[in-house]
Amino acid sequence: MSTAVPTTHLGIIQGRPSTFAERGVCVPFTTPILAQARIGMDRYEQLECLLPGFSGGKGTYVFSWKTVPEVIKITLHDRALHKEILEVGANSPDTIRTCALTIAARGFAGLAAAHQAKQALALDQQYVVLTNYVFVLELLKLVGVSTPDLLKTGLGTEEARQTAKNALNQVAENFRIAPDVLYGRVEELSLQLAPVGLPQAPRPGRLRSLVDRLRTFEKSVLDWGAVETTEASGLASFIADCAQQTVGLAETKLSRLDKLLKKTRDVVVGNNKVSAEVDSTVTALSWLLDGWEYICQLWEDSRDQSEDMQRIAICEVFRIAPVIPSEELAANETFDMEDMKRVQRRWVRGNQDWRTGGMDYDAVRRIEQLKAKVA
Amino acid sequence: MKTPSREWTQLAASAAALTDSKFLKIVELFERIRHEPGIAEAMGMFRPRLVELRPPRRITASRLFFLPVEDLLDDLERYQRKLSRVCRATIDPCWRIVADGFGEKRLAKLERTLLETDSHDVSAIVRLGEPLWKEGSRALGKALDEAETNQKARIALFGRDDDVLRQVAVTVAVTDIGAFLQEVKSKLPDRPIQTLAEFHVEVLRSAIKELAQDDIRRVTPFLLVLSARMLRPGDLLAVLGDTRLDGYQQEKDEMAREVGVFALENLLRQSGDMSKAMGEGAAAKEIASIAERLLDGFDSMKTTLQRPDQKAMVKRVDRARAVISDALLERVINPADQELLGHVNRLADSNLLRMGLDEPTFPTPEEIGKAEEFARAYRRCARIAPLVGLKSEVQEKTADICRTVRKVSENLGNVARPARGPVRVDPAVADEQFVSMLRLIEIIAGPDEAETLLTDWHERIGDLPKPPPLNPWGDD
Repeated sequence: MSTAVPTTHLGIIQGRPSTFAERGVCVPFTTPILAQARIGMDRYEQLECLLPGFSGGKGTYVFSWKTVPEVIKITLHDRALHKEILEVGANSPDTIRTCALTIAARGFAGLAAAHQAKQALALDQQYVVLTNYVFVLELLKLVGVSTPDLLKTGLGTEEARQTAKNALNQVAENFRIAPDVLYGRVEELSLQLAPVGLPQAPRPGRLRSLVDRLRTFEKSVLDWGAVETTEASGLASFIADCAQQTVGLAETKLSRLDKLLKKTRDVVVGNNKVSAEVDSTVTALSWLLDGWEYICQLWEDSRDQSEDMQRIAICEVFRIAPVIPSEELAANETFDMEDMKRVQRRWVRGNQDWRTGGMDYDAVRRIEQLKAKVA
Repeated sequence: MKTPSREWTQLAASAAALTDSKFLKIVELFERIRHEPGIAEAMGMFRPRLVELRPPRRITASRLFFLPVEDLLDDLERYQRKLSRVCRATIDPCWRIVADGFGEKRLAKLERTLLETDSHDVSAIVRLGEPLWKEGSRALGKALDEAETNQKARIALFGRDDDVLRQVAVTVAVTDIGAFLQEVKSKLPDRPIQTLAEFHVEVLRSAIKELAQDDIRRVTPFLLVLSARMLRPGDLLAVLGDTRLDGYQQEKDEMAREVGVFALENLLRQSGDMSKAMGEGAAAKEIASIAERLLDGFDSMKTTLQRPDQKAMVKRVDRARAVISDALLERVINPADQELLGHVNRLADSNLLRMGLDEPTFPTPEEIGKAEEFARAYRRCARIAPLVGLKSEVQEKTADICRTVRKVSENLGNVARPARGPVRVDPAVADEQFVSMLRLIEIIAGPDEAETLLTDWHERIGDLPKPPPLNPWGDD
């Protein structure tokens, strides 16, 4: 199994990353060469940019984050995003996502992407509200108040609110904590759990839905690879394997999380171990699934296009695929990564503007169109 | 009673107004009677829209036979003689010969199998097409031999025009390598091929070697077809140049010259598209795209143009370049300020805004989308402008547009964050509009210029208010 060799500020990483932190977080840049580049922390706790297959190169290139605009000519959107990330100090999937949506919402990636970003930001808040409601309903059950009880007078009425409040006060009393502490804790948990959502929620959370989408993606890529006549079929097998491993790990984590969430009292108060495990599982899920939404969309969009476009999509997916870090791999590496990277490089085409050193804005537009479909 | 050809053509023309799905249904109906007189001509009217829609088309035996030749096919009005291309009008006489030779029963069986075959399934198409191409090519070759020696047979089979015989000869040569060609094509990028990756170059090299080993004469039709698929046909000749063909150096040079001349002639023929597009009032996007295709094509043919026997060709290319230059100036560069900023020009007039005489009206998303499309056409035009002597015109126009946007930035800033008086425009709305404008500047002048304008804008407008978060518990 090949292991990653981290470098200092500038260099190349070969092979699989060892950990999720070393894999870094995807940044939805619109500059084609930087699309889905990753951000990580170097050994001095400074942000660094990890760029796979830069200029058709073998490994993952590493730059200091600050120097990205000096190293590569990037779009205005990416300059704004780069600055936002630096100012916020974002380095996790959730914080990077918020930065990206904030910048896209201002229109830097076009009107359609702005619309999508605003909706996604609003939806994120709605998920927090939804999670909060479902959580409260679970707590109310503990003192014998059910949803039909609240619905009797209408969910939005003052009477229902009062009933809920009284019941929650009773829960707080049973838990031996002050009601305000209970409210605060529920709010905190709702924020934390909203990306995954509760299993009993009427709508699955963003990450829970992504696992389903990834399952469909894996099958689709596998089927494509089975009938592909060129060497790109090998890349498809690797990508499908990568997706399958991710789905496997995600399912294990989701089932563990759902089991933990059944222990409502432990999660809400008192049991630090349970609470810490909930926190770490949600965080692990967001790191594990980071980057896959863009890939699923990229592949789905290519399905009704020509075979050539599908091969281009497969090569791009291979370049940016969120590989499982070696520490998390269930079995030894069965793919010859170096050989596959060689195959992928053989499919890289130049674009017209490269000849004049400019930016290919038709390629930028394609990424922006994709962005307009990804939350 | 037979419907006259003119009526078919009128019917086809009226289909242009239909929605995509209804249009495709009409196409399907025409397909069913495609061998009726006048239908082929009427169907020519569908082609441009079909190219855009790319619907999955049912493959018939005759379409299967002409699949290897499809890159060389031209409609009657576009066809030009002696360019090693094939006029669609030649399809019918050829197909009659091929169908006769293949036999009615086998053909009917093939048609039935094709009904259940996915036209994108390359291996199935090659498997079904191989006997048809081989036998069809042989039958056509025989007919051609006969036509060359027997005047009566020639008139009966192909008419009196010598050029038809040349077209048939091209069809024979190309269908003879039909299966091989289709397999190679399936591994190459979609047409028009812009650039080749290492993998594609290797596919081409080994294909050329394999054909040359088999029969060196088969390489020319192979290159003819593939050069017609390429935006830069010279790149294919470069691949040929880099491929070692032991013992065939002279043949290789001759092939490069022959295919090079055909490719150039074909590009010159296509330069007529520019005059046609200008006459039809085509959008800047189309003008830029034709110009790019032709100029890139000419640019790739430098080696052929440098040959001492191509001086006349150089002059013709120069004339074509002049036509392209005029078109770019007239349709893309000159109207750029109006097309890009026409919808915001009033914001550049500070007096109107300051006096409160004019409420700023902002462009609609459709207008912004249209302006962005124009900006991308302008950028493509800027890339090729130096090839037709328009570099300074583009630079001046770009600088003008940037100046106007700077002015808009000041005025918009003044009404969104006025030093005195009420705010006339919501800063968030002003910001959204300004970012849209910056995107246009970015596309035409690059991200550096756009970033400078953005920095000025931030200084002018300050921090934007953030929307409040949702409160799940209402006011409590």
